[in-house]
Amino acid sequence: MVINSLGYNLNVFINCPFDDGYNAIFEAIVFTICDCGFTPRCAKEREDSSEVRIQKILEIISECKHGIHDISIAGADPKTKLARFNMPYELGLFTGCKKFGDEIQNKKSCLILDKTPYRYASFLSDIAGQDIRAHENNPQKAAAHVRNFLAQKSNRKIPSASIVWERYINYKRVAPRLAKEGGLKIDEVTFRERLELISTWVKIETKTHT
Amino acid sequence: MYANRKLLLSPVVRPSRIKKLEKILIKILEEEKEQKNGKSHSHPQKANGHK
Repeated sequence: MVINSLGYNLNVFINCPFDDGYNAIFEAIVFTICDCGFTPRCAKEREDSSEVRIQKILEIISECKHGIHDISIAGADPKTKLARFNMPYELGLFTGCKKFGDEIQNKKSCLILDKTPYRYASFLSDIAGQDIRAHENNPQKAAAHVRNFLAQKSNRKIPSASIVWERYINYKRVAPRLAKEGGLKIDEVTFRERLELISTWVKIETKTHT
Repeated sequence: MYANRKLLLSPVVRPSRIKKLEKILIKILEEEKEQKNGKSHSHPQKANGHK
Protein backbone atom coordinates (compact mmCIF):
# COMPACT_ATOMS: atom_id res chain seq x y z
CA MET A 1 0.00 0.00 0.00
CA VAL A 2 1.35 3.43 -0.97
CA ILE A 3 0.95 5.93 1.83
CA ASN A 4 1.26 9.68 1.34
CA SER A 5 3.80 10.54 4.06
CA LEU A 6 2.46 14.04 4.71
CA GLY A 7 -1.01 12.63 5.05
CA TYR A 8 0.21 9.79 7.25
CA ASN A 9 2.11 12.08 9.61
CA LEU A 10 -0.90 14.31 10.12
CA ASN A 11 -3.66 11.70 10.13
CA VAL A 12 -5.23 10.98 13.53
CA PHE A 13 -7.35 7.85 13.95
CA ILE A 14 -10.25 8.37 16.34
CA ASN A 15 -11.29 5.20 18.14
CA CYS A 16 -14.26 6.08 20.28
CA PRO A 17 -17.90 5.19 20.94
CA PHE A 18 -20.40 6.54 18.44
CA ASP A 19 -23.23 6.76 20.97
CA ASP A 20 -25.42 9.87 21.17
CA GLY A 21 -24.27 10.38 24.76
CA TYR A 22 -20.68 10.68 23.56
CA ASN A 23 -21.37 13.21 20.78
CA ALA A 24 -20.24 16.26 22.73
CA ILE A 25 -16.80 14.75 23.43
CA PHE A 26 -16.50 13.37 19.90
CA GLU A 27 -17.21 16.72 18.28
CA ALA A 28 -14.78 18.54 20.59
CA ILE A 29 -12.07 16.00 19.71
CA VAL A 30 -12.71 16.31 15.95
CA PHE A 31 -12.58 20.12 16.15
CA THR A 32 -9.38 20.08 18.22
CA ILE A 33 -7.63 17.75 15.77
CA CYS A 34 -8.56 20.06 12.85
CA ASP A 35 -7.64 23.22 14.74
CA CYS A 36 -4.23 21.77 15.64
CA GLY A 37 -3.56 21.26 11.91
CA PHE A 38 -4.10 17.49 11.86
CA THR A 39 -6.66 15.41 9.97
CA PRO A 40 -9.26 13.38 11.89
CA ARG A 41 -9.99 9.93 10.49
CA CYS A 42 -12.52 7.41 11.76
CA ALA A 43 -14.74 4.52 10.70
CA LYS A 44 -17.64 6.93 10.23
CA GLU A 45 -15.92 8.70 7.35
CA ARG A 46 -17.05 6.04 4.88
CA GLU A 47 -20.65 4.91 5.07
CA ASP A 48 -20.56 1.99 2.65
CA SER A 49 -22.41 -1.21 3.50
CA SER A 50 -20.51 -3.11 0.81
CA GLU A 51 -17.29 -2.67 2.81
CA VAL A 52 -16.35 -5.11 5.57
CA ARG A 53 -16.13 -2.93 8.68
CA ILE A 54 -12.91 -4.33 10.12
CA GLN A 55 -11.22 -4.09 6.73
CA LYS A 56 -12.16 -0.42 6.55
CA ILE A 57 -10.87 0.19 10.11
CA LEU A 58 -7.57 -1.57 9.38
CA GLU A 59 -7.11 0.51 6.24
CA ILE A 60 -7.72 3.76 8.12
CA ILE A 61 -5.39 2.69 10.98
CA SER A 62 -2.64 1.95 8.44
CA GLU A 63 -3.01 5.49 7.08
CA CYS A 64 -2.73 7.20 10.49
CA LYS A 65 0.45 7.91 12.42
CA HIS A 66 -1.47 9.03 15.49
CA GLY A 67 -4.42 7.58 17.37
CA ILE A 68 -6.88 8.81 19.98
CA HIS A 69 -8.43 5.86 21.81
CA ASP A 70 -11.23 6.49 24.26
CA ILE A 71 -11.97 3.45 26.37
CA SER A 72 -14.38 5.26 28.71
CA ILE A 73 -17.41 3.37 27.37
CA ALA A 74 -15.77 -0.04 27.31
CA GLY A 75 -17.62 -1.20 30.42
CA ALA A 76 -20.77 -3.31 30.61
CA ASP A 77 -23.71 -2.27 28.48
CA PRO A 78 -26.64 -1.52 30.85
CA LYS A 79 -29.08 -3.46 28.65
CA THR A 80 -27.07 -6.56 27.71
CA LYS A 81 -24.73 -6.52 30.75
CA LEU A 82 -21.95 -7.42 28.33
CA ALA A 83 -18.69 -5.56 27.94
CA ARG A 84 -18.12 -3.40 24.88
CA PHE A 85 -14.96 -4.63 23.26
CA ASN A 86 -14.74 -2.52 20.11
CA MET A 87 -12.62 0.29 21.53
CA PRO A 88 -10.07 -1.95 23.36
CA TYR A 89 -9.99 -4.20 20.26
CA GLU A 90 -9.16 -1.31 17.94
CA LEU A 91 -6.58 -0.04 20.43
CA GLY A 92 -5.02 -3.51 20.23
CA LEU A 93 -5.03 -3.40 16.43
CA PHE A 94 -3.36 0.02 16.50
CA THR A 95 -0.62 -1.03 18.94
CA GLY A 96 -0.15 -4.33 17.09
CA CYS A 97 0.29 -2.42 13.87
CA LYS A 98 2.95 -0.28 15.58
CA LYS A 99 4.74 -3.31 16.97
CA PHE A 100 4.67 -5.61 13.96
CA GLY A 101 4.31 -3.19 11.07
CA ASP A 102 7.01 -1.78 8.78
CA GLU A 103 9.19 1.24 9.56
CA ILE A 104 6.34 3.64 8.75
CA GLN A 105 3.92 1.86 11.08
CA ASN A 106 6.58 1.64 13.83
CA LYS A 107 6.37 5.43 14.19
CA LYS A 108 2.79 5.31 15.40
CA SER A 109 1.86 7.09 18.63
CA CYS A 110 -1.36 7.26 20.57
CA LEU A 111 -3.28 8.90 23.35
CA ILE A 112 -5.52 6.72 25.52
CA LEU A 113 -8.44 8.42 27.22
CA ASP A 114 -10.66 7.07 29.98
CA LYS A 115 -13.34 8.47 32.26
CA THR A 116 -11.38 8.43 35.52
CA PRO A 117 -7.74 7.76 36.41
CA TYR A 118 -6.79 4.09 36.93
CA ARG A 119 -10.29 2.78 36.09
CA TYR A 120 -8.78 0.86 33.16
CA ALA A 121 -6.81 -1.29 35.64
CA SER A 122 -9.94 -3.31 36.45
CA PHE A 123 -10.76 -4.26 32.85
CA LEU A 124 -7.66 -3.62 30.68
CA SER A 125 -4.69 -4.01 33.01
CA ASP A 126 -2.38 -4.88 30.09
CA ILE A 127 -2.08 -1.17 29.36
CA ALA A 128 -0.78 -0.43 32.87
CA GLY A 129 2.43 1.55 32.64
CA GLN A 130 1.17 3.59 29.71
CA ASP A 131 0.01 7.16 30.18
CA ILE A 132 -3.77 7.17 30.33
CA ARG A 133 -5.53 10.53 30.54
CA ALA A 134 -8.86 10.99 32.30
CA HIS A 135 -11.47 13.33 30.79
CA GLU A 136 -14.22 12.77 33.40
CA ASN A 137 -16.80 12.90 30.61
CA ASN A 138 -15.97 16.55 30.12
CA PRO A 139 -15.53 17.62 26.46
CA GLN A 140 -13.22 20.51 27.40
CA LYS A 141 -10.92 18.17 29.34
CA ALA A 142 -10.92 15.65 26.48
CA ALA A 143 -10.10 18.42 23.99
CA ALA A 144 -7.26 19.68 26.22
CA HIS A 145 -5.70 16.19 26.40
CA VAL A 146 -5.93 15.86 22.62
CA ARG A 147 -4.41 19.33 22.09
CA ASN A 148 -1.55 18.61 24.51
CA PHE A 149 -0.85 15.26 22.84
CA LEU A 150 -0.83 16.75 19.32
CA ALA A 151 1.29 19.73 20.43
CA GLN A 152 4.06 17.26 21.24
CA LYS A 153 3.74 15.66 17.82
CA SER A 154 3.69 18.85 15.78
CA ASN A 155 6.61 20.89 14.47
CA ARG A 156 4.40 23.94 14.57
CA LYS A 157 3.43 26.11 17.47
CA ILE A 158 -0.04 25.11 18.58
CA PRO A 159 -2.13 27.52 20.70
CA SER A 160 -2.84 26.62 24.32
CA ALA A 161 -5.76 24.37 25.15
CA SER A 162 -7.87 27.27 26.45
CA ILE A 163 -7.40 29.17 23.16
CA VAL A 164 -8.40 26.13 21.09
CA TRP A 165 -11.45 25.69 23.34
CA GLU A 166 -12.42 29.35 22.91
CA ARG A 167 -12.24 28.86 19.14
CA TYR A 168 -14.41 25.76 19.47
CA ILE A 169 -17.05 27.79 21.32
CA ASN A 170 -16.94 30.38 18.52
CA TYR A 171 -17.34 27.62 15.93
CA LYS A 172 -20.29 26.16 17.86
CA ARG A 173 -21.96 29.57 17.83
CA VAL A 174 -22.01 29.90 14.03
CA ALA A 175 -22.24 26.19 13.10
CA PRO A 176 -26.07 25.90 13.17
CA ARG A 177 -26.46 28.89 10.82
CA LEU A 178 -23.63 27.74 8.57
CA ALA A 179 -25.25 24.32 8.35
CA LYS A 180 -28.71 25.77 7.73
CA GLU A 181 -27.58 28.11 4.96
CA GLY A 182 -25.64 25.19 3.49
CA GLY A 183 -28.87 23.17 3.34
CA LEU A 184 -28.30 21.04 6.44
CA LYS A 185 -29.63 20.64 9.96
CA ILE A 186 -26.82 20.70 12.50
CA ASP A 187 -28.36 17.85 14.53
CA GLU A 188 -28.54 15.58 11.51
CA VAL A 189 -25.15 16.07 9.83
CA THR A 190 -23.02 13.05 8.99
CA PHE A 191 -19.36 12.80 9.99
CA ARG A 192 -18.26 14.02 6.56
CA GLU A 193 -20.64 16.99 6.64
CA ARG A 194 -19.52 17.92 10.17
CA LEU A 195 -15.92 17.71 9.05
CA GLU A 196 -16.70 20.03 6.14
CA LEU A 197 -18.31 22.57 8.49
CA ILE A 198 -15.38 22.45 10.90
CA SER A 199 -12.74 22.52 8.15
CA THR A 200 -14.40 25.57 6.57
CA TRP A 201 -14.52 27.42 9.88
CA VAL A 202 -10.91 26.58 10.75
CA LYS A 203 -9.75 27.61 7.26
CA ILE A 204 -11.53 30.98 7.30
CA GLU A 205 -10.76 31.80 10.93
CA THR A 206 -7.13 30.85 10.44
CA LYS A 207 -6.89 33.20 7.43
CA THR A 208 -8.59 35.98 9.40
CA HIS A 209 -6.12 35.75 12.27
CA THR A 210 -2.87 35.63 10.25
CA MET B 1 -0.06 32.11 16.25
CA TYR B 2 -1.85 30.37 13.42
CA ALA B 3 0.50 31.88 10.80
CA ASN B 4 2.13 29.72 8.13
CA ARG B 5 -0.33 26.99 8.74
CA LYS B 6 -1.55 24.89 5.89
CA LEU B 7 -4.76 23.04 6.48
CA LEU B 8 -4.62 19.48 5.21
CA LEU B 9 -8.15 18.43 4.43
CA SER B 10 -9.44 14.96 5.12
CA PRO B 11 -9.69 12.77 2.01
CA VAL B 12 -13.43 12.51 2.58
CA VAL B 13 -14.01 16.25 2.51
CA ARG B 14 -15.29 17.64 -0.83
CA PRO B 15 -13.28 20.73 -1.88
CA SER B 16 -16.26 22.10 -3.88
CA ARG B 17 -18.41 21.87 -0.76
CA ILE B 18 -15.77 23.69 1.29
CA LYS B 19 -15.70 26.52 -1.28
CA LYS B 20 -19.47 26.89 -1.09
CA LEU B 21 -19.43 26.86 2.73
CA GLU B 22 -16.57 29.37 2.77
CA LYS B 23 -18.70 31.93 0.89
CA ILE B 24 -21.59 31.38 3.31
CA LEU B 25 -19.36 31.66 6.37
CA ILE B 26 -17.66 34.85 5.15
CA LYS B 27 -21.12 36.39 4.67
CA ILE B 28 -22.21 35.29 8.17
CA LEU B 29 -19.05 36.65 9.79
CA GLU B 30 -19.36 39.97 7.93
CA GLU B 31 -22.98 40.32 9.03
CA GLU B 32 -21.99 39.58 12.62
CA LYS B 33 -19.22 42.17 12.41
CA GLU B 34 -21.60 44.80 11.03
CA GLN B 35 -24.13 44.05 13.76
CA LYS B 36 -21.43 44.34 16.39
CA ASN B 37 -20.14 47.64 14.95
CA GLY B 38 -23.71 48.92 14.64
CA LYS B 39 -24.37 48.18 18.28
CA SER B 40 -21.15 49.78 19.50
CA HIS B 41 -21.84 52.90 17.38
CA SER B 42 -25.43 53.29 18.51
CA HIS B 43 -24.56 53.16 22.18
CA PRO B 44 -22.54 56.43 22.40
CA GLN B 45 -25.17 58.23 20.28
CA LYS B 46 -27.83 57.17 22.75
CA ALA B 47 -25.71 58.37 25.59
CA ASN B 48 -25.15 61.71 23.82
CA GLY B 49 -28.87 62.01 23.19
CA HIS B 50 -29.53 61.91 26.91
CA LYS B 51 -27.05 64.72 27.47
